[in-house]
Formats: sequence, C-alpha cells, structure tokens
Amino acid sequence: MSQPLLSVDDLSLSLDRPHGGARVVDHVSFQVGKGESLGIVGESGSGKSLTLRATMGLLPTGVNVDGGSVTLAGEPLAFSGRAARSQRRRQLAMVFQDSLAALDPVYTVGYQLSEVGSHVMGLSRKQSWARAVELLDLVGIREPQRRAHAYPHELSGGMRQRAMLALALATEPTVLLCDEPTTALDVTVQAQVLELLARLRRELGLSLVFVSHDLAVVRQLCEQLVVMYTGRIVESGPTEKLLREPLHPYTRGLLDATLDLDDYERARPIPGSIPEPGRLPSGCSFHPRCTYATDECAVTDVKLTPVGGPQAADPATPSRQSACLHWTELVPR
Amino acid sequence: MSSALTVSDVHVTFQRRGHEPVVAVDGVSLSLPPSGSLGLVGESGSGKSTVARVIAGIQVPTAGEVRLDGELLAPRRTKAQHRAVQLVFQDPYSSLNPRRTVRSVLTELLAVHDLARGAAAAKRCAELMELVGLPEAALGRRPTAFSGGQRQRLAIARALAVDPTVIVADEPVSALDVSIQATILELFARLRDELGVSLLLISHNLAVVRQLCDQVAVMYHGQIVEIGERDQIFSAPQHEYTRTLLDAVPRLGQTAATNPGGEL
Amino acid sequence: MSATTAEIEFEPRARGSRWSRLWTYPTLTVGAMLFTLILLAIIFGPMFTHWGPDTQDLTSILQGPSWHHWLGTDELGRDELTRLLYAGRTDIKVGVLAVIFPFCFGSTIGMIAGFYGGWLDWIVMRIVDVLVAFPFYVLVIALVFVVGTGTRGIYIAFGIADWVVYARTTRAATLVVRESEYVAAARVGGLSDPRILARHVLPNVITQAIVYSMTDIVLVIVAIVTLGFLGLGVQPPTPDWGVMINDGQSFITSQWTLATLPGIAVALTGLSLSLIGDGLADALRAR
Repeated sequence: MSQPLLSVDDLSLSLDRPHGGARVVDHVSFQVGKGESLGIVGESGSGKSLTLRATMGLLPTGVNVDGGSVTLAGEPLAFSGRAARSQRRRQLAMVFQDSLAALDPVYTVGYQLSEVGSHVMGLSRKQSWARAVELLDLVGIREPQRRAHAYPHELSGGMRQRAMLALALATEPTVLLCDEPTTALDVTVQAQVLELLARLRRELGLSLVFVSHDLAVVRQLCEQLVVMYTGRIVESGPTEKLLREPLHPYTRGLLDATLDLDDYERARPIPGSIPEPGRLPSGCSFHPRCTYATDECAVTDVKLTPVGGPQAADPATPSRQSACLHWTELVPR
Repeated sequence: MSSALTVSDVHVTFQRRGHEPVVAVDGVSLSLPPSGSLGLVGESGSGKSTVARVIAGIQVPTAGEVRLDGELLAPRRTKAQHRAVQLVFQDPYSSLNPRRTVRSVLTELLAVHDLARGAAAAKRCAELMELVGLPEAALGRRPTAFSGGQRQRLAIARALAVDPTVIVADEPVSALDVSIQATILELFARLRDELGVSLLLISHNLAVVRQLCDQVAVMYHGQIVEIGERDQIFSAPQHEYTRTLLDAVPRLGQTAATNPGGEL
Repeated sequence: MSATTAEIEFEPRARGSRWSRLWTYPTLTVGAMLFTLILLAIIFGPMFTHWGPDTQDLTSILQGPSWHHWLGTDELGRDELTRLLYAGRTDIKVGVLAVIFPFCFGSTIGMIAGFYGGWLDWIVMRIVDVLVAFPFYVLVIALVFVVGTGTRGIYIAFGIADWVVYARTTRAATLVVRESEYVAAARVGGLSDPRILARHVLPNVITQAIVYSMTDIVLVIVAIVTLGFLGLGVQPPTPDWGVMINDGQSFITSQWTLATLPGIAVALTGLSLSLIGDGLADALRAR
C-alpha cells in the first residue's frame, strides 16, 4: 500500500471502573490510504465506535487512552484538548448514526453549514452561504436554496443524514469517518445514502472509514475490512475475499448468523453471548463460543498474524491477517 | 389450538391539537390462519407498528374491526380477549419493568387471569423459563441483570405466560446483535411449531420475515400494497414498491456458506 | 440450535443484600448516621436529665454551662439542654407527620392526573397553579390564622399548602412512564388500570417524591420554627426551637447561647436530612 493517509497504531482504550479499568479497545491497528475505504465490523462491545471516536478525538468522559497513536498524513494527532481539535480541523470529518442529535436544533441547516465556511475557511458571509447551498446540492438535496432555510427537525431522516454529510464535507476533508450512519435509516433511504457515499468517494477522492454491524453494507462500500470482537481485531483483509473465505471462526460465525435475502439456508446463531469488558475469557476471548477451540486457545494470547499462503508474503497484495491459532482449519478444501 | 385472526378495513387517524390529523393506517385488511405466520413489512411511517398495536388491543382504531375466530375483539379489550393476543416489543431494554423481578411479573399475570397460584404458579414459571431457554435462576433477577437477547426471551416468556393464541412480534430482533438474532427467530419458529401459536411478525428487515413467515404483506403509507405467499413475494414481486424494497437491501453475495470449494 | 441453558450467563448478583449496598453511598451514610444520633438524643436524652422542660428555678437564671446545667439555663431557670431535647421531639415529630399527608395525597393525585390526562389533569393542574401562585409562607401563615395555631393548625396548613410539589413531580414522571413499553405490556397482559398504576407506575415515579420529602421535612421544621418565632406555631408551654429562639433574642448580650443553640439544632437536623435526601437520590437512581 502506498503511504497511508490515516494510520492507527496499537490503540488501547479502557473504561474507568471503581475497581480498576476495563479494556474496551485492545491494541488495534489499521491504515487507510488515499482514496481507499476501510470497513470496521463488529457487534456491541466490539469497540468499533470507540476506536473511531478516539481517531476523531471525541472520546467520552470515562474512557482513557492506555496506549497507541493516531497519525494523519504523517502528523501524530492528540486525543484530547485544543491541539486535538485544531490538528484535525480541516482534514478529518465524522458522520454519526443519529443525525437529529448531531445537528443543532436551533439553527437552520444552511446556517450551520455556513458557519464552517466563515469560521474555518475564512470566507465572507455571502461566500459561505453560497458554499452551503453548493454543499447541499453536492449531497443530493433537491432545491438546496430552499432547504438551506430548514431546521433539522423539519427534514426527513434521509435528508438530515445528507445534511450531516454536507456538514462533514464542508471543511473539504481528506478522510471521512462514519459511525453507523445508515443503521437507523429505512432500507431504501440507506441505499441512497450508500450510493451517495460511493459517488462522493469517486468525485472527491475521499478516504473512508466505515463502522457498521452490517456485513452486507460494508461489502457494498469498502474494499478493505477489519472485524472486531471484544475490543480486538480478529481478522482483516480485502472485503470480498474475507467474506467469501473467512479465516477466523468469529467472522465465519457472523456470516452464518447474518440473515441474508439470498441465503436460503436458515441462519445459524453463534452460541453463548458476548462477554462484558473487564470479564473477558482468558486467551482468545472468543474461545468459549468457538467450535474450533482447543485447550491451547484458552491460554494463548493470540496475536494477529498474516495468513493465506504465498500471496501474504507478496508486498503488492494487501495482506490478510487473522487472530486464530486454527485458521488453517477454516481454509476451504 | 389456535384460531384465525382477521383484520377488516382498519383505519387509524391520530389527531393532535394544533396539527393536521395524521392517517397512520388507511384501510388495512389481512387474515392470519390458525398456526400460521404472517410477516408485515414496511419502512418507517408505513403504519405497521400501529397495526400491531391495534391487533394487540392497545390502540383503538378509528374504524374497522379485529376478529379472532369470528368473535369480535372489542376496541377496549376485556381481560380474556387480551389473553388471546399478546405482544412482544422491539426494545428489550424498555419493555420490561426495571423494578420487578421476572418471577413477580409472571406470577402477577398468572394470578390476574386465574391461571395458577402458589405452587402451580411456581411450576408454570419454571416451565416458561425452559420454553424460552433460560435457567430457572433467572426468575429471581431483575431485567437489568440480562443482556438484550436474554431480555427478549423474557419478553417472550411474558407473552407466553397467558397461553395466547396469537403472538404479535414488533421488530423482535432489530435491537439485538446479529449473532444472536437467529436464536430468537429459532425460538419463535419452535413456539409456532410446538405450541401452535399464530405469529404476526412486524419487521423492516425482509430477511427476518423470509426466515420465519409463510405469508408476507407489504405496507406503504398506511396501506397494504401487496400480500401473498412468501416465495412468490420474494421471487416475483408484483408491486413496484415491493420491488424497490427488495432491490434496496444490500446482499452478502457468495459467502463461505454458499461457496464451499473456492480458492483462497 | 439455541444455546443450552448451562451456557447462559448473566450479570452476577451484586455482593451483599440490597440493604448492605446502601452503605456504599457516603452522603446517605453520613446523613443517616447524623440523623440517627439526633433521634437518639431527643428520644433517650431526656431520660438522663433530672430536670423537666418546664422546671423553673428562679434562683439560677441565665447561667452559662456548668456541671449542673450542661448548656446553662434560660431566663426562667429552666435547663437549656432539656428544653432543647424536648423541643427537638416536638419539632421533628411535627415535621415528619406534617409531610405525610402532602406526600401521599400529592403523589397519588399527581400520578392519577398524569396517567389519565384529560379534564381531570386540567382541573388538578389549575388547582396547583392557584396554590403555587401564593408565596409559601404567606399561604401557611394565612391558613394558620384561619384554622388556629398549635400543632393542629400546622398539620392542616401544610396539608393544604404543601402537596402541590409532590403532585407536579409525580405527574411529570408519570407522563413519561405512561408511554413506556412495559406499561403497554402490562395493558396487553390484561392488567386493570388500578393495578397498573399501583404496581407498575407508582414504583417508577415515586423516587423523586421520596427524595424531595426529605428536604420537605427540613422545610417544615424551619417553617414551624419561623411560625414559633412569630408566635403562631407551637404554643407554650410545649417547647419548640422556634419559641426558644424568639425568647432567647432578648438575651443576646447576656446569654447568647439561648438563641443560638436552638438555631444550631435546626441547622444540624436540616443538614442531616438534606444529606439523606441527596444520598437517596443517588441510591435510588443507580438502579
């Protein structure tokens, strides 16, 4: 991969607890190059949202950084404080799941957009308003001049999501972080927003980091995929290959459990339940629920290792990694 | 033994002071055969949840009627009528009273409907836990001790406690993690097969409906735009909206499950 | 296949019973201990003094603390400590009792009004609006004038004036709980309205009212003290902190303890109840 634009290295986060912290993100690393899109998939407790927020410098109170770093275009980023905000300002932007909460209800959409223009980009009031309308048009909102005068609650869910996207794009970022932006949307609206994101990637050369619990959605949008479970990355690699031939039992389990319209077979759930942070099983945290588990799995601190045969050694192909001792058993014969 | 549920030309209009009246349900009719399963799909604003609430007796329709096995179910249900149609809600975190133990909720229902008291009630509670796949120890705990999937099982146990003929499940798995959604769906399938309850499943997720329901009805803007057998709806949808809905769902494509001998 | 029951794990029960967990809230613990001390003092203290609250000894008036009279004597030679303790009995008893009716009545009517809405809610809210429009003390004093002074008057006056806060609080909480899914589930379960109100709504809306009642007791005690100060409260010879403060005023220069000590007693009682209220707010919320 060419020089990565955004790089997260060995990030670890933990929650404040009265009797010692609970690790919620554990030594997570990934990279995104210019114009590339990376999907981060996981269920609740996987740490995917917190990872994204740490990257954006938006950690909630009670979450501490235990280690690791985030680098943008070669420059390391702070996790909090004033430095954190100014470093990211122009280049990194984020969209959220709840657009109603992400937009200020007392200002019109156009006003919020133009604020960015006048305060961050140094444009005049007229220029920033024109730019606001331009942005609304860019995200596919019809009659942008009229809509710019609307308040967030006056817009439909889909339009609000687009407005939130416009706000994120207002600073002309190079990397867009997305935290489940389509989860709360109707499926038809979701399809439109995903199409919009794909178009914007092409037109603006945006890099994308897309967090979701929905494998099918990331498949549509992301070339690279990272699968997280209880705060750790369990598998990573090119999306299509990874979904066709998963090399970690959790990914495999997730695929089998996902209800898909094309899959006529009954979905098979993963037995057991996701452990709470701070009460993770020893060794590989997935082992109690894993059909491939052996005694070794409970005692070994399994690390991500390159997998997949001779291609893994070739620097030209993006690498596949898996954190499973028995990954070879998952290779289809 | 279960009966047929019929919904005839139900309309629900919400009046809010100072606003335009909102037509949530605009003439919906459907029928659920004994031990059958019908999936009601639609997006937000389609009116499907309102229909569910009318059928469960907690929403009075502006017009239309609901009958169970021919008997008219009054808009304000009697106790016995409530017994027959139970509702499982979407959000497992808010549908259970956080201050009551599981046992107290179940025994209350059993007592109110004169189904069992004392030792008989205790036995029934244990049976219900087993039916939904939870240990008996769960009876003494409050909902906050459980995960989302477990709470949903508790909600199902509560619905089953009164021996209903029809269970209406409003988005029962939407708030749950993917890896355990199938557990709850399997549970519903088992209940339908073993106990013979009829199932009305409300969902925006077409794949969920496909897994569980013999019949599918598609709602849009308060009306049913298409209704039919499952396989027919999914393979040969007639209405344009149904087609749009099906096209919009992202697919997983070929996965390990469907492509076993592929190369790495 | 769904997971076997053996694999199901849920949140282990927190260590210790519900009662023992209350100790983990420091505000609650400190407040409760302080209040218990005060209660013990006023209940059992008088048994250990040789003096009655009215025993006069005109030969030793306005004395400072001494071996005979630990806190001195007042202008009629009565033992200050004994009077303080007996007055505490009066004030705290009246304070607690005066709050019971407003708490019960106000919470219930607020909950019913919030649950059913409509004309009932409208009527209740208009009554609340009218009562709230009067400044609290003005209302209480006016009522005491009408119904008479003394403890009976206090109970009636507070019964009329004080229930509105409880009504508002529980009504607001009920409006939220009314829409919750577990109430809908209770309806679907076929439970009757009174049952739903009593067993599903009430426990979830009463916590704020309980917390407020602690502060309310303080308010009532202060009000009694104020009324006593104005000569409208508890009538002599029953000792009362307010009357003691009033009487002690004239002797500020000679024996300042007569006016100050009762004030300190009021303050300590108020502090302990406030701490309990704060602690309860945390403890009840953490569920």
